Amino acid sequence: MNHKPTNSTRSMSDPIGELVHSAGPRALPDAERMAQARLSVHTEWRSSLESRLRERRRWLSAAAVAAISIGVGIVVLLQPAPAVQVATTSRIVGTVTVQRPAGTDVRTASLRGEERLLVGDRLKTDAESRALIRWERGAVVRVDQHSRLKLESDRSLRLEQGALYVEVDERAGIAPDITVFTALGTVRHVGTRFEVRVTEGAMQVRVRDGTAVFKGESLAATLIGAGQQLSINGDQARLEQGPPAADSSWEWTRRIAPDFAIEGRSVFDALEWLGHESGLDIRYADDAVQAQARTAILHGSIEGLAMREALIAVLTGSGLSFELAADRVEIHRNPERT
Amino acid sequence: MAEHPQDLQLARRLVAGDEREFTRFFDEYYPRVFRFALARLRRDTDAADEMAQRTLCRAARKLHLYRGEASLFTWLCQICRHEIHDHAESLAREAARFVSVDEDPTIRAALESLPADAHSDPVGVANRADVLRLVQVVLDYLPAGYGNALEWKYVEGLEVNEIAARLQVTPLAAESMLARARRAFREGWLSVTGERLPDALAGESGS
Repeated sequence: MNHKPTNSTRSMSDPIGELVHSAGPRALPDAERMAQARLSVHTEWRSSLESRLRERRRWLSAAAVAAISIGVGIVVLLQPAPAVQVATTSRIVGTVTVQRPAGTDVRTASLRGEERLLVGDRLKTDAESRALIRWERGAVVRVDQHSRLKLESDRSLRLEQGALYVEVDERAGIAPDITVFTALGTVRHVGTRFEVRVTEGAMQVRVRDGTAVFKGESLAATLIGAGQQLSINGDQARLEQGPPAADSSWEWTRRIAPDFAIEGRSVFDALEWLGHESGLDIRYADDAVQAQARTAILHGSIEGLAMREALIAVLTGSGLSFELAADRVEIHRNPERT
Repeated sequence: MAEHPQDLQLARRLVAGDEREFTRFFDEYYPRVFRFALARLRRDTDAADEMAQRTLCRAARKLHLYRGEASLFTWLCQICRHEIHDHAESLAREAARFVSVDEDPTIRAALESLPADAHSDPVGVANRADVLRLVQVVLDYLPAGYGNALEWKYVEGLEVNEIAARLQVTPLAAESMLARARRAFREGWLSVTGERLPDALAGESGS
């Protein structure tokens, strides 16, 4: 709430107040242009950070080679960079293979459950497999079937084929930061959930919440807002309305979603999570219904259940019922209990 | 040794890739650089936006070169001057003809020397042609947050509690910050005009 200063609050006894008040508010940039500028400056900043990182690595590599050359004379040894863990798989469905540089060789192995992922690792999913990867810096990446990607650094990965879904949790306590490189350009998050899909010569970025930024070699930085999709074909880009957050095309992301342990959690928490994962809006009939959901505590598991079954499991015994619509779930008091 | 250690720390965190510091950097400096450009571009807001954006983009690429010898705002202003000059020769000619009050080297030096708790020597400056503009320039050159706090109090008329809420600090801390801001303003005003503002009868003691 603003209060206009009165003569009594800024009398001649307060010359600074008089001066500042007389000068009036300082000019402010237009909010929309400032938002665009923020995006441009942010893109430039991230790009310069990455470029300096690459430069440092090149310099370190050159220094390492020079040191080795001096030390061993005519024998040239190529030492692998120390293995740097950048992520961990937290869920694997089907067979996901990893190719890992090991000296001058590349070892191929299948990933199972929780495994460390290192810079340089290449992951591949087939027609039956998907993977859930937790990045050390806070992002969570879901990899769809028929995908190939490489972990390039603690902040970036390269998607060569297929699709992945990036979710950034701003509440993680650190500034999550991830860039997806593709042959046609790079995608960065601005606090968001988005999907990048690469097919031969084309790619598509769809944003479910928040905002993402695409930058191609010959294309200007494009801001992709929630519900929008950007399609790139060669050097042509088209930004248009994408599918709604609850559209079935997002369904694959639920199939490789992180587990949500409901044991000891409230019905409200579980519904929030289900709404987040499905893109459905959770609506309560009234405040009392919401309060009831907050106090009802759950036991058991909803792992592997489809949306309707999960809702039934969560609400059974809580005194609440639901109606499932295309874009929302309405929560009511169970008439049988009243 | 860096004369502006807090600014240097901010620059280092940005170079380390800290997203939260980026938000702080952008929110704090974009409007100030915009106003700096606006004063040199005959109040052309589109051009000022363009120049402010270019300035911060260029700064983002060069942050690793910032050494804290001048304040970060001064460093950004220097980049902005180059951007305006490079923008177009015609604009540069206009800018050369239109000398903003803070382009005066004496005034600029005085403003740029303002530390958080300044005790600068008074510098006599006779130019009072644009007093109100000068007030706004002094506000922009004050150390981080002081200009906003003073504007919130005296232009928007916010109470200390409301300023505290905006700053996400306690009312006591906000009161203390306002007192420091007033002292810094007083120093700045003295430095650029040579005119000592009379002490307030009340509300000035919060050191």
